[in-house]
Amino acid sequence: MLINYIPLVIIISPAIWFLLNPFLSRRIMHNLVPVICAANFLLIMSIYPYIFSGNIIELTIFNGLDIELKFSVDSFNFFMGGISVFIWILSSVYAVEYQKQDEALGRYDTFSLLSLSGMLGIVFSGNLFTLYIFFELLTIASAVLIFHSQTQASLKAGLLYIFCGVIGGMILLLVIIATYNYTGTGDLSLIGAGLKNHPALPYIFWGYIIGFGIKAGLFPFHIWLPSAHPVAPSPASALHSGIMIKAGAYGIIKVIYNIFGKEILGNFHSAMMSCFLILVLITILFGSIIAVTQIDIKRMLAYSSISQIGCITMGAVLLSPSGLKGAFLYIFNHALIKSNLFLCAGCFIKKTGLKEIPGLRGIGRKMPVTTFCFTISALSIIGIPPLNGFASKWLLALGALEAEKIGFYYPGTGVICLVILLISSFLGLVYYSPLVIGGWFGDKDAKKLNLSAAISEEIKDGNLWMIIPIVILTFCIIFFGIYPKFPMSMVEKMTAEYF
Amino acid sequence: MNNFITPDISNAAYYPIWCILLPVFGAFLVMIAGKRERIRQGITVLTVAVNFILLLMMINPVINGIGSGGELYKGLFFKIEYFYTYSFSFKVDPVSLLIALATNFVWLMSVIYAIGYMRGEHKRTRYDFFVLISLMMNLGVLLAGDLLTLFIFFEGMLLALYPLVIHEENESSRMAAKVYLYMGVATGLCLLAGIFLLNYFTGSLDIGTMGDKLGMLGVWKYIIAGLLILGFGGKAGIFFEHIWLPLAHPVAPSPASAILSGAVIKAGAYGIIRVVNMFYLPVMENADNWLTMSNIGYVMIWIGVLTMFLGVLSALISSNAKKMLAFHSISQMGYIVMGIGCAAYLGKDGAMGLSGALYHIINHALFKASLFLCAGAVYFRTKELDMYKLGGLWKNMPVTCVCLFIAVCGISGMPGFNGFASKTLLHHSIVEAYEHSSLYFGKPDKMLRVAEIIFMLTAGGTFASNFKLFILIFLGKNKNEEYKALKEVPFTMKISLISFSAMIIFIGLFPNLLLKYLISPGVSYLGYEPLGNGLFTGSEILRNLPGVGTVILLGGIYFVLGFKLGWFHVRVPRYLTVEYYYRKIFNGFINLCSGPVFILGERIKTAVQYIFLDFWQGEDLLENKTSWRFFDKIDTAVDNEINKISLIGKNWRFYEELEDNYSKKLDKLVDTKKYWEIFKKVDSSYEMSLDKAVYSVLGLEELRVCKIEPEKIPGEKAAPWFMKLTQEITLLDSGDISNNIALIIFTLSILIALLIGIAFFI
Repeated sequence: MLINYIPLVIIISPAIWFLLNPFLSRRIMHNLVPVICAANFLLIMSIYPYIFSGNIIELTIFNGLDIELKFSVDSFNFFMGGISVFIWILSSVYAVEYQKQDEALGRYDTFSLLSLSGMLGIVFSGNLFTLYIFFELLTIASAVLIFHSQTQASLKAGLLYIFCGVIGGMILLLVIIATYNYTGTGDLSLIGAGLKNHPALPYIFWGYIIGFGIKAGLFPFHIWLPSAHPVAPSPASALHSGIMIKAGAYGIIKVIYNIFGKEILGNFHSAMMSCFLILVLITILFGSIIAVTQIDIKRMLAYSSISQIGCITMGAVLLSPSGLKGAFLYIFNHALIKSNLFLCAGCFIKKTGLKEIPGLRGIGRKMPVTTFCFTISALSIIGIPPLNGFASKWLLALGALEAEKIGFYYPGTGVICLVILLISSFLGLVYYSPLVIGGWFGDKDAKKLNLSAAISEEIKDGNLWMIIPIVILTFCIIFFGIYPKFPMSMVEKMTAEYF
Repeated sequence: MNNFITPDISNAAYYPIWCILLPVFGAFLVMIAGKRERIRQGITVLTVAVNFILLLMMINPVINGIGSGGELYKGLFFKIEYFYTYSFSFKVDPVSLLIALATNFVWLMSVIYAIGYMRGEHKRTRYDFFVLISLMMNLGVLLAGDLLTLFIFFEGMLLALYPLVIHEENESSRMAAKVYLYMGVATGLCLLAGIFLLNYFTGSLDIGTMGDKLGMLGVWKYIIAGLLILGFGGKAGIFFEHIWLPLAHPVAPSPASAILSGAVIKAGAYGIIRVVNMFYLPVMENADNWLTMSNIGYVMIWIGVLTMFLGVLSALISSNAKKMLAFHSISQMGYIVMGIGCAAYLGKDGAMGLSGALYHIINHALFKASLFLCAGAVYFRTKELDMYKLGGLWKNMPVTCVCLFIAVCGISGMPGFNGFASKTLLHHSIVEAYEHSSLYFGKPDKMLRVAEIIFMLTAGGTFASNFKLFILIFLGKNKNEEYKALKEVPFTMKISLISFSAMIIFIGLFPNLLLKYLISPGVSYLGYEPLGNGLFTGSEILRNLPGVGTVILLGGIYFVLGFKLGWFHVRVPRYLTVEYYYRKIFNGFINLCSGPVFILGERIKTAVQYIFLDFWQGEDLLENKTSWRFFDKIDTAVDNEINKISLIGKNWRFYEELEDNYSKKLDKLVDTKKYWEIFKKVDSSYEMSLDKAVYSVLGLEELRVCKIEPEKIPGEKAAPWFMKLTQEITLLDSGDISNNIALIIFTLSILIALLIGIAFFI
């Protein structure tokens, strides 16, 4: 059927568009990127009715060999792909203006599109080998985005990222081979209970967790994240923090619910899962505590991402329906919020040349739209109702308490999760409030201290291309907070496949 | 329980929604009007007034009810499907309507007052906008039908009031606003945790329908109740959560202080009423629930008593007029909380306590708002808040003087003013609690007697402190020549002052009216046996006069102690204040964040960087003279020697020679300075980077102000992060390069172990 080939087209099309590079001027190519992404988005949306009427698209190419390339799109895969491309459109619209002065435009565009291919390949893959191939593609392509600014710091951060990513990939390959040996299949939907009761299960599980955890930025493996995210150009940071770390979270959810299955993990390996849960809880607290001490705005956002990815993973690890719903909704909401925060931070840095939070006092006067959007996003990530961050935190908390009822974990675990969730919310206030409050109410101080942001008259909101994506994202944050039916319907559908 | 009016029965069910939406609409009109003063102020006042009329229109359906199809429906209920399985719902019963009316009245008077008062202030559009938004949020809290809706409005109210608190934008207001925000969010999270647990255990968040489900929970019901009370208590300003009140109320503009003190903290009291009564309402015969409720009630009585007494002590020794009034707000909230506690403690018979609390909520809204507005009027003319520097203003500002006097009489509970009625009820309730406590213990609980004595002491302190305010500001001699030519405040400000005074006197003269038509329905709705209608007859008032006499006598004693012995100027040691401990905890936490945890994070990062990257980049740094090559050289030399010797023959002497040779060579090589130079270089840059690290950890302030970009410091060519790694080496051991190998071997062995582990099982 023709529709079976659509995922393949979706994955390949961004990657092949850069073949046009030699024939078009860089400027035109640069402005074409949002169009390419938008076309891709339309393509994805065209399979929405098909997927959500309960069908699964599957496509196998190179079959006949032991190793085959297989793509499959179920509702979860579709959800991840849709949100990725949506953020990609906005980020590239933003980049039209932001990267205008860039000398190496072609490189940025090419590798941004390649990363999109990698990301879509990961989320649309139907078996583990396909997933691994695109996982490596994403690592390499997105590393170039980190190298892009070519400063000393970015070189170091990029190197660290590549090392971590490659080591994660190697470990992943190892456990993929192991899985294949046991079960005789690498097909994500077929592995199921093949690993049940096997003595090597914990090794394989931890291998997967390290492999995907490095990508996601879980606690001991997070080290690349806070140095890599700030040095990339802001639209790329938005993609990294908003979308690409979700590839890790996607992998962890697939590992827990598809490869091993929640019954096996919950019933026979609850001690191991408890260890993992502790790791995740440490991630949540660690990210927010370090974020409190940061003065560089983008570093602070990066640490906040670590904390939030911990929340997402927690939802998955809790093994309860509401927890999983919370994790799915959190992926959606965090993608919107964090990319918006990074885009706003990019505006601030571009316009004022300052990246320290105290330097941005009184910015609300000069750049009201950007600061407003930043404020809304910050409030949403803290979990102030009725913005969308609240909805996902609500579901996560329900999930934590439900886990108590299901009883895979020791009694009291759910309550501890709940408490840590609330503490991280409060810490969110502590690290976001200096910028928001200083931005709106710090006018006089800033003038007294002669901060350039307050004195300089030229500082204004960015031009239309920079403002439009931010405003659209802010609108989404408010809209999906007040009316979460649309994401919730998808989330319900996705959760129903696992529970 | 009764049936609520839904939209099918009457359109009145839509009133709460209109009440919520109208201020939002008004707020956007205000934003459009912007700098056009008259239009903007007109819109603001009109919006609040129309809202008040809407609330008045709700009285009939809520109190009297509407008959339909042979059944009587009372109260309004409206529901919007909102989120997941939960929904936005609004429910108006007599209790919420009563507090909403008081709230909206305070708001109306405050915006009228603000027309005159805000004339000289900056950012007036922002002020008006957020006044309307916070009205909407506050009414949302009061009219909400379930706890999730309530929480959403509760958090919204916190944020909407923030711009009012920080309005002046100076150092003190910023500090106060920070405390206000942190306190608000922290207590809000307590509330949220309580809501989560409640939802988990009972599966329902409806206000007032979960008594039977809660009864089964054992210790969890106390935890839930505790969390919810902590959450609402933060807003209400109960003891140890009160610290934001004396900071935020004085720095806000006076109309905003009136709003905060007259209306907003009542939302907290409203929440506490709901929480405490949640356990009892539907199942009156359940003895277990009754016991739970009276346990909670007993704790609430003591929290209330503690709050009222400490509040009034702090008020007595403060000199800033608005700060003193803020402390009185805390103290009066203590009365209200004590009333709620008495009601819960006595169960079905606790009507006296709850009526007292509800009555006092209304009265306090009137006189405290009036007091704040009067203090604001004085400040408006004199720009002075220290009452010891004022005096003799009665000639200049007669209207303000009279209004302040009426409000002071109200708060002191003088007969003929509104405070008398509610304080009498509250006093009766604590006495009743003392008398009924024999039901639980066999003999009366002596501690409640102590509570009653503290109640009287507090009443005396309230009297002394408020009359002190009046005397110092309006009587006596004028202490400043500039104040001689002062004029009375503008007309709009006078309107609101006079309206408040009229209300205070009206309620004071006809205390039964409010009790009969508004408070008793609420009390009986919550399941208590209502009071008789004619409580405040002439003889009853006469019977209470000795109590009033005691209060005045105690007040006199306070005066003597204060003025003659100078006790009004006592300064409390720092460590006796709650703020001190909050500050300790918060600073300790921040230190923990920027100290150990931060360093731990850096360590982990450096360790991993070291493992993966150091080896590779090190060569670059050491200009091809790595220690690796150094050791290689030695090795090859040794090998050569061994080969030579083994060719000649196996002789021990040769071996000795060899060793001698070897050590000589080694010494020579070590002496070749280069080795040392390298390490010195590493050392010095390590120190430099250590300094920098120390700065970034400890000297945050310095880095915050000036822009430092580490890459651009001249003279520091080679990668500084490598030095950090060597720092790690030095910390680990003696700076030996063999650590390098050890760590790499360690990592590789982990990887290999993983590989073997899997391979073994394959």
